[in-house]
Amino acid sequence: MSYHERNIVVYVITGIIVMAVYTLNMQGIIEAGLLEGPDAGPTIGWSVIKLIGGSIIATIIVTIIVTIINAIITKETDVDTSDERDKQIDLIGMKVAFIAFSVMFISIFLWLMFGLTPALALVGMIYAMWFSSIIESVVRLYLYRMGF
Amino acid sequence: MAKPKGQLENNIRTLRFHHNEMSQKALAEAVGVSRQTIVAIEAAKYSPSLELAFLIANVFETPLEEVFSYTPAPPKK
Repeated sequence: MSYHERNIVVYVITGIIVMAVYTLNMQGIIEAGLLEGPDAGPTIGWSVIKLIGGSIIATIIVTIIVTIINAIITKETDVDTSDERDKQIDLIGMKVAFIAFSVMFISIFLWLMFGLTPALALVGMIYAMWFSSIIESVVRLYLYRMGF
Repeated sequence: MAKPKGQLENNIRTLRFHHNEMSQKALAEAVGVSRQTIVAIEAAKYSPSLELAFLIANVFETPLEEVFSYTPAPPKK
């Protein structure tokens, strides 16, 4: 597995772990009714700030662990270089992620028409961004594995 | 409707063999890309940019058209 493929796998695993913790947190918030009053905005804001902070910390920890394990097993040190092919794969991934996010974005607004609360719509946008980034990672990993 | 794409082929593998059995890694380092990119180019799964194609041809001291060849797609009937 190349350096870039390994980075993508780390990103996906970290994202799933962080979003699982975020989902448990949000479930508690929703059950406590904190998204229905005037404090819904600050509650969501704080949850996003914690999500971003948690993502950064989790990514750093997982990356360090994977890098050390990889160095021990393969006895190789990777060099962080991106060439034209890596950039082209990144662009294709971004294009697919943009399309995916656009579809989810419109879906959320349609859902709003049918009674979804604005607070839940905002939470839905957060999940839409996360899910589209996962789709981007999957597309990039698929292109790398297919030898593009 | 989009025009059907042709096939870009190359004989980089043969040229590497005839240049002191140059490795993919050595060629990659010579042109400034990763070994995986050279693998993808040789397998015709990735089409290099014009600049990269010229850099590869320069490494082998061979004209570009002797390294890469393009076969247009057959016209639709």
